[in-house]
Amino acid sequence: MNQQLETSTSNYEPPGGLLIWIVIFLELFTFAAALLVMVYFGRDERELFGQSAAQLNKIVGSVNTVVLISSGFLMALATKELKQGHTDKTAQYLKFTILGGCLFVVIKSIEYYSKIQAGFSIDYDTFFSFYWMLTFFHLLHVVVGVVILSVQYWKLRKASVNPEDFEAGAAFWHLCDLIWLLIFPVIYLMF
Amino acid sequence: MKKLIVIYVLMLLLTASVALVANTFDSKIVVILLSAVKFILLSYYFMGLVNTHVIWRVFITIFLALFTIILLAMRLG
Repeated sequence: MNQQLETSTSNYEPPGGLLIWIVIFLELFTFAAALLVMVYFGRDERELFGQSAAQLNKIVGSVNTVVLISSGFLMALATKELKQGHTDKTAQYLKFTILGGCLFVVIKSIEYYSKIQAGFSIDYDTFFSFYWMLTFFHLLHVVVGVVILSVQYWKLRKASVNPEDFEAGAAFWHLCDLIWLLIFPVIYLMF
Repeated sequence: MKKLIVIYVLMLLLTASVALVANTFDSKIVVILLSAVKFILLSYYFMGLVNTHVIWRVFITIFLALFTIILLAMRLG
């Protein structure tokens, strides 16, 4: 009975601790609310949203989805290896996770450059106002995530990594994936 | 490890399916539902919620269900 109670309370805390999950839920609610407002505006300007969404490159969006999912997969492997005490393997997986994040930033920057060149700036129309605000805010999260993971990599190399901090960093990285999984279908594919 | 690889491959297949459905059949409902499945797989298995207390899975599932239902209602309405 006591053992059962121990098991049920020991996994009560989510991975990375309660604080990071409060952040995760706040972020998810913020992005979800903004996306729903975008869809609401899209109902009034259906034709305009359809024409503007057609200017986005769905292949680039899909490639970025694959990059983020692959990066999330490597992060999950890194966390698993750390729990088993394999720091070298953890560092290897973490390095490729960070590279995945950097690749996402590069691809997104190329996409932004092409949009600016074509004249689709933030004040072009309502659709592009939402596009720039939501995707740029998400990109900032990815950049912050890359910085957090780089710090964890440095700590791992110095053998001073705290497993709970590492898991919190991993949870933040997965948050970037989750937000993208909300943004991608709505902005790139729905209108 | 094996389970994570299976989930990863499944998510890649879902991503390809979403892109294919959006370009070929233009079905917004299928796109939204497939993306919701990806969201669940990522949060449950990559984030490790599947091994934690049920309350966390309930929270994330309710969030996603509400978002998906409102999105579908706005899209179909």
